Amino acid sequence: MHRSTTQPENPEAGKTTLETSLFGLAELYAMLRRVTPFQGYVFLRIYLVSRNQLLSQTRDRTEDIRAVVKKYEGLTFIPLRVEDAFDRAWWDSVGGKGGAEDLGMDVANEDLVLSSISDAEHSETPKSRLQRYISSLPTQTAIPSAVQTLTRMLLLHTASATGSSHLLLGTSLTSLSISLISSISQGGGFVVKEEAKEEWVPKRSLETRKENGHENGAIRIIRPLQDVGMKECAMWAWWHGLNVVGREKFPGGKQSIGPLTKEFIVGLERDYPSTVSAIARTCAKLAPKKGAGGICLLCERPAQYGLQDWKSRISIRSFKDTSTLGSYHPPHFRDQDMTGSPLPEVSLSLTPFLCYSCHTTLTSRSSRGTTAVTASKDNPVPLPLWVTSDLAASAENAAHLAATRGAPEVPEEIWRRRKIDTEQMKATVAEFLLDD
Amino acid sequence: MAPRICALCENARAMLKRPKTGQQICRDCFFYVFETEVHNTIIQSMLFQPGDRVAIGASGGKDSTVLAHVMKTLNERYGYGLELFLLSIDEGITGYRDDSLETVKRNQQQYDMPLKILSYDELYGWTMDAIVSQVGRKNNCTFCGVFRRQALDRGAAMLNVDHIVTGHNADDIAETVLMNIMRGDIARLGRCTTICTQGEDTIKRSKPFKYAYEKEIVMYAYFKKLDYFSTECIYSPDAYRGHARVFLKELEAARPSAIIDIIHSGEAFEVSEEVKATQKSQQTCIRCGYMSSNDLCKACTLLEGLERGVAKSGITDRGRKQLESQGPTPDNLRTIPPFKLPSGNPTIAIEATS
Repeated sequence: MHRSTTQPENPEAGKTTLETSLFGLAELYAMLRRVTPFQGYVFLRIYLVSRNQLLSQTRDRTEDIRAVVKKYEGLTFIPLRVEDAFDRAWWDSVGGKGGAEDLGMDVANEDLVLSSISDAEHSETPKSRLQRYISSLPTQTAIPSAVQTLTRMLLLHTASATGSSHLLLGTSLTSLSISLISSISQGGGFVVKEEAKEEWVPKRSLETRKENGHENGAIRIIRPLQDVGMKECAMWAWWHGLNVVGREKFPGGKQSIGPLTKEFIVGLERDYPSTVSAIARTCAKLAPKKGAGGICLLCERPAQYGLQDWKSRISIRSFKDTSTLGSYHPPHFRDQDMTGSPLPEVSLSLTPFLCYSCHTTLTSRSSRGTTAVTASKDNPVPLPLWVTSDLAASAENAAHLAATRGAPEVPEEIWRRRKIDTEQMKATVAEFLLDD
Repeated sequence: MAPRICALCENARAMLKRPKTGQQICRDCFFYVFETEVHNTIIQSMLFQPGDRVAIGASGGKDSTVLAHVMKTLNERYGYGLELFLLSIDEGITGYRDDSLETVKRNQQQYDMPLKILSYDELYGWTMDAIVSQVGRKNNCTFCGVFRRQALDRGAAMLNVDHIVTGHNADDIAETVLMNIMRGDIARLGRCTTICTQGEDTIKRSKPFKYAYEKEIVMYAYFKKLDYFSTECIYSPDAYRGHARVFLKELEAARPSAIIDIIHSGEAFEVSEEVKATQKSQQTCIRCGYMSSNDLCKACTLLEGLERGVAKSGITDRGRKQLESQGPTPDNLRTIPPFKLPSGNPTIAIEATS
């Protein structure tokens, strides 16, 4: 399980603003065990000490959480760290196969071109890889989104490795509404249903899980507190004397979409009390439009394909792609501005394998900038190991198909467009032109 | 420091930073990409056919002023073959519409387009000032929105046009997506990102500025030196939409692409099949013939409430019960004239340019 709480705003006044409390669930579990024979459920406790590595001047709260978990019988505590996403040891421990630590992406280019990481960077620690990944993000608001994705994937892969059937998250009704609006604000409309209810199918241990009796092999992500408001959770925690360890906030504070959304919804709830439940109810009535093309490699949620085409239609960023330009060219243009220069060498790009939200997180910029280090194709940013593993698997499948069909191992056919200028046209039809 | 070069033509000096993409570009490239993106939206959505008669909803504000300019420009540049009209609605808000209607009249002269002005007073017998004096300032936007929508359709029918275009921009649509989620309006949420809507009994209505940022519309008007009147409705600060607007501006500050990201989200989902099956099917109002989900359309419902002194009968359950307790609808109640789709001949004389 993953736990997320905040410090009480005004503990002396007895008022708290706890977001969720899975310790509340632990308390319920303990009470139910005393009342009824509770068989067959194992609560898997996982606490991620992620912020300690991302935030300076914060202390490690792992032992605080361990001490609280010890008070409950039958709970196993499994601590993880966000940098485990870049740690070969963790990946091997959860049964991960493949995955190359020497593959990175160029975040300066919206195509997120993939290339090899140098030997020097290859020997980096997981913590330094994480820090390079985070510091390459284009906006402050991208940091919490990226960390949330890494956290979710670490939880899912670890839960799969421990043979779990369910992953419980302590999301309250208020947090659910905030995450729905926040996700929609970041282009996650296609996966709005997954924010409330989700089944994740692990790629690597699927057959083993089915043999062990897991229905469809999937892990169900459940949010038992999703019908309980934030204040009700706080009251319940207060009356049961739960020890709230709390957590630090990301730098960038209210400049991030998550905190902005929270402030907005909590504020709106004062004047329009049914806002939170209206958001959750409305989103529960939505379904993705047809057109899913696959699974995003980064967040492993359904992805609509064709996002590059959509984005290029919406805004013209270059005159090199003449397909988005009209037949009219203003007088101040020079011929060479409109000529499609030779397309760069075909390189493997991560963009086609990402959903809209993940692509936006990695590429959408703000004039406010970030603490991002200069990223380029010569300085590729490392990727989480499940991404490189899937990329390697895709490449192997393509090569295998080519081999079994007897065809040479060539890349898929690539279409290339280039503008033909007048001289080239004339050269093509020269033999048919009559002298004036 | 050397002057910055335009990121697009790499020739002229960059004069502005595009709010949508953050690129630093020259003025001429900005005009070009702004107009071409609208052209691409029109072509890819196949909004028009040659020979279409198109009414531009003109308020005198920046969106409709720029829309009129761009539609005229693109119609001539790419040979759409459209006949363009200006259609303006006078809500009867003293000090708000008076000045903007003068702007519309100037637009008529500048763009050489016929103009029709239709007022709430002439159509419904009530101005927004009179309505607000009855309803107060919390629910007045419901009246204005419902009445304006029907007024545009009626004005378009009088002009015998095939199509209405409005200046709704990307910011408006993103606000609407958020607002409909927060209010639980699933019916509107299912269609609010559709660029072109048409029912059996309504005129086709499109939003060519669907992907155009409000800031870029202002920038376009500024550099083109277009004449428009920027006035906020005096009743709007209390509206629910105002909350969504403030939030959207904060999101845009955190990440400029948030506006387009929200629109993309809205395009990516739809109402689930189970919910669609429970939604009311469209019918026509038994009183005025306009499209309706119930026996009476919303405009007729609201107007009856105003006429009978229970202004909130169309908004709250309490008001509805209060109205019902008064007995059946009187025979001599003022009603909205019957609505008919364009027949082929304009039913009114159009104010042609001099």
